Amino acid sequence: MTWLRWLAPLGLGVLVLLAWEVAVRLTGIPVFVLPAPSRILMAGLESAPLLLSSAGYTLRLTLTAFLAAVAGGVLIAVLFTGSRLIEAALYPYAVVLQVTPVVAIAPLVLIWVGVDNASTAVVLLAWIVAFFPVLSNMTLGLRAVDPGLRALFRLYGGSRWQELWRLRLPAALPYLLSAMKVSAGLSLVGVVVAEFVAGSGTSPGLAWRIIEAGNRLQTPRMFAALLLLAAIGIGLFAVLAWLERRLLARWHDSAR
Amino acid sequence: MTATPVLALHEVSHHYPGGVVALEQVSLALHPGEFVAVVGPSGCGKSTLLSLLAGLTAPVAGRVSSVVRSPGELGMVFQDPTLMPWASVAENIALPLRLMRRPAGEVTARVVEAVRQVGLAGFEASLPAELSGGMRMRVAIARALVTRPRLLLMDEPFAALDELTRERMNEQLLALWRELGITCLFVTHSLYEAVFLATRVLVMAPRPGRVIAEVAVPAGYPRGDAWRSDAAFAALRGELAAQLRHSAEPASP
Ligand SMILES: Nc1ncnc2c1ncn2[C@@H]1O[C@H](COP(=O)(O)OP(=O)(O)O)[C@@H](O)[C@H]1O
Ligand SMILES: [Mg+2]
Repeated sequence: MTWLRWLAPLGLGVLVLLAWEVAVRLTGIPVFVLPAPSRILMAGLESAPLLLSSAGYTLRLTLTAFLAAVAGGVLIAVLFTGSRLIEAALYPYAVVLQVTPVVAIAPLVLIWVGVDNASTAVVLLAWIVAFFPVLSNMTLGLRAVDPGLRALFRLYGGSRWQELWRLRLPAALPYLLSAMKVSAGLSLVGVVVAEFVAGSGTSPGLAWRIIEAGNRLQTPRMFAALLLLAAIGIGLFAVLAWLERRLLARWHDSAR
Repeated sequence: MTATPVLALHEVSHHYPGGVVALEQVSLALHPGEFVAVVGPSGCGKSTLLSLLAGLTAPVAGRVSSVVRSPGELGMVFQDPTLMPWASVAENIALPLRLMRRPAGEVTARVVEAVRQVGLAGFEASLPAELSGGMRMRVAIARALVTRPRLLLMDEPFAALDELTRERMNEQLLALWRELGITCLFVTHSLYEAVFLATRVLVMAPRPGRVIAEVAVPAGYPRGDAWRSDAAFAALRGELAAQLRHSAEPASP
């Protein structure tokens, strides 16, 4: 039945594209409102070098923010498990950072980091959006340890360091991997939103391409840029899902 | 009996927050080479007793004395195998030695020995999820034996196994006990198992948890099916059952 999982969505996609093409041609709807798939493809091919280099830029920023989010989230979660005091002191601020809309913080961050460093500002903003799921899931995972195993570690005089490396981190791995899938998507969202705010010509990412094309009513190019963004998101998700299966398949229920 | 017990409780009481009196005034002694079984209904404090004996919990009152001085001299097997699901059989068994920071060469040799003792040769690289319930319990036993302990505490280790597997595990456990000359404390709620294994059976009653009777099992070793179908076996079981029933009457809710 595995072929069904690929063929079904693919078939649906092809059908929708065909219907879209036909509908646009029959109704004669203006191209700046809704371009036909064939027009989007042409626009994409025409401006491929520009769009691909923009995609590269967006991807680079997304990955930087994502990796920083994973590193930061894991590190802070480990600190939290080490000390209830640190957790009690820091956690509320992590929540505040999480619930404040990035768009609202963006102008401030831009002022602090400097308009010349737009890409640093973008990474910082995306990091703020992406690190919370890692932090909260990882904190949960580091605590979700079999009490029997903890007793065993105490019985043999295991140190806290050994408990972290040999018990807590492996036990938290499934939690981390599932948080990473969410966090990767949020990094991309964060980068795009931050670019919208910070962009203004200085940011060569895909988000800016979309705004630029929008201003010029180049709707087919907007669609092409949008498709590339979606492709980046899907690509990241697929890589992480694969990684999850690779790392957990043999021992964790979720991957079997 | 020998003069110095391996492990002893002196009028130990323990309660949990919330006012549950888990144990009250319990005294007992384990002598070298003994196989003592503890029976009693659920909630009578058997697990608490083991935890105190292992030094994992400090008693609220009373004293625990033990000749065990360093980690590894005491092994423990819980009701669940409590294995690390991400680690191979060999790595699970090696855990105590790794925690004790033993040299790699010693770890390898001891793991091989423990794997052989519980009959798991060929499964060293398997993960717990790939094993049957009985095999997982063998891993837990090997892990407890890998440090060559003087004392083995077991908390209803075979309760989740099917009858046939359990009987086979009982026989193999006795063989190991005789081969290694260790002292065993075995918690169970199966009278059948207690009488089959032990040299001495302690009967516990709940609310508050205490030892209400002690029954010696005069049969020799090795024991097998002949002992299970012996008239003395049935008589001892009956005696223990009567003790338990008697203890449950006044306090039953
Ligand atoms: N961590 C705990 N906190 C509070 N009460 C507990 C705890 N552990 C055990 N108890 C209570 O103490 C009593 C004895 O428990 P336990 O030693 O696990 O009994 P057993 O192993 O014989 O079933 C029970 O009433 C149980 O509910
Ligand atoms: Mg118990």
